[in-house]
Amino acid sequence: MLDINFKKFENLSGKDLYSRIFSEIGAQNKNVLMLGSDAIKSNGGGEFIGRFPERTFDFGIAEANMVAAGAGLAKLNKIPLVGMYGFLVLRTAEQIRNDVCYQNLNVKLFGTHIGVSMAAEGVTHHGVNDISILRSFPNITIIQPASPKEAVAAIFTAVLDYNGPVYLRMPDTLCEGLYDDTYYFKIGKAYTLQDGKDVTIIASGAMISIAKDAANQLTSEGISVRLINTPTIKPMDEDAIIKAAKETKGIITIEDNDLAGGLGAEVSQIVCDNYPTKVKMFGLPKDRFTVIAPSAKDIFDYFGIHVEGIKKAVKEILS
Amino acid sequence: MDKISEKEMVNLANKARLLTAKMFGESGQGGHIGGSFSAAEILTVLYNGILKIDPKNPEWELRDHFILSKGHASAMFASVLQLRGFFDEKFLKTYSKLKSAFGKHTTTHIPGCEFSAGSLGHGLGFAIGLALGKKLDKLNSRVFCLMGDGELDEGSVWEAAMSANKFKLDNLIAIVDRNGCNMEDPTEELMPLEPLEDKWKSFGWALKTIDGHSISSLYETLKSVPFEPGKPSFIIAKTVKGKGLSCFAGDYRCHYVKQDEQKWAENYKELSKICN
Repeated sequence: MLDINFKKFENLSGKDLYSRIFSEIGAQNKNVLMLGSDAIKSNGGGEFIGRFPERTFDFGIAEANMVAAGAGLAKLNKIPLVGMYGFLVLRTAEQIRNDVCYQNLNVKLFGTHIGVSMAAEGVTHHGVNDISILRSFPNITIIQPASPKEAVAAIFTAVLDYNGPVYLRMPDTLCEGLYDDTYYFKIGKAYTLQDGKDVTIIASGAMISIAKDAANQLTSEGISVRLINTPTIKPMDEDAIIKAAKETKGIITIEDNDLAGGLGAEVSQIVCDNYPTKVKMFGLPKDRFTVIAPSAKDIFDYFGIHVEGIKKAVKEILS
Repeated sequence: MDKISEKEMVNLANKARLLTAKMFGESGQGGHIGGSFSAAEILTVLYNGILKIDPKNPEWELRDHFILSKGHASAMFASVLQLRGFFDEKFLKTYSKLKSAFGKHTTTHIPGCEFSAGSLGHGLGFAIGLALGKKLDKLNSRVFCLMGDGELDEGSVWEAAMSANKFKLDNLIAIVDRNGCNMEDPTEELMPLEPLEDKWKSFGWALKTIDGHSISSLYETLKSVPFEPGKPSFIIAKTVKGKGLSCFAGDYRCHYVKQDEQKWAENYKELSKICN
């Protein structure tokens, strides 16, 4: 297990946190490189550039070439951190599939500005298909941290303690206070943040915040809620999902990806294959484009991804 | 020429054509005759006169890397590797079989093959990464990348071309098999590439145009890289699609060929005559 000094990351959040994480990882391993496409600072590579300019490569606005070159670098045992806005997984999908995943190369892709976090930038900038696409590629691991501590542990582990393609889906906002000092990160492990026997809520990344609010309110109303955070979206912790299917009366999933092929689809597949139960998925609706709005919350509200909707769904499962 | 004579090299290229035709015919699958046969001399010269490689140790860390971006020349590439001693001839019999290391496109499961290709426009970007990595590690070895000319329609090729110039990758040599044909039409009718020299020069590459079937031209040109210090090198190798078989040579329609056993037998006979 990695020895991580969490003190170096105290009081940091969002891009500043990611920037510190990348630069500290760069300091630990000289093979770690930063690749970007006219968005390195925007993607949280600012501190890395400052400390390791000779290990930073900007490919201009040419993401496909950046990913292909990342694969070539990994073939020579470099560890390229390949950053892009989440929606650019669409553009680079074939390079990720053929050059990175098929050849099983040690490329660490990371997506920022994911989900609908760039709400007012418009539909073209909404990264709501990355999970759907990458879930269908063999060899790649998809990780999405929910808290600052989890971000540090997960990114360190994925880059320095795991050999293989990874997509780090990095939320703009992280949820504080999820874990105590016993927490450790392991790829493929889901974390039960709150145990319960009536219903299970499963979420990941920024959506943990809504999930937690819903769980708190339901608990205060006397409903026993199991809250599971699954930072590893692929491969998902099947045991935790099957256990939840068996031990509670139904499952709610919450995500900021399109419902066609996202976290909820993965949970549903596991449940269908192993222990069918009721599953209600919250996320961006299938077969509809997202909408322009001032904030991500406005988009979530517009599509019914909010605490009230989740509470209603829980009560329907239990009725 | 070092070690191996021009005459021997000509013979090796034709032997590779015969092995390739036999894979296509005996498997019943057919294959990419046109772009395989146009690349026979380019691959033969690279693997028998230019590349620093060790067939007994394909992962030798000081080796040159060769990236076949036009992965549809898979059978020809495997033939050249076989003749160079990377594996036994029986390996070629696995062409397109269930769970084979290679079918109509390459994979890294072929000993000596550095890149799983197929979808076009990927190889040069991958080669950029290798060339950058070698610079970082201060390795003197080079990266060679062979593309098809139709492949140059892909936008990702030009993204890669720009970045090679930015990073001053004079350890990178790209070759285009300029047989003048896309899959369904001649290149200049389907999507004009000319003036091709001007395009690559304007992207910052040092460039030479040669006869891609002339062993001596290929050898002398490839021996002289980089053409200019600090610049990536580009070679336009003018070739004939389907070169080596009279019924296909120069015909753009021979991109992919599947035919009956009798016709394959005639092809083997014609190719055997030009092999010693």
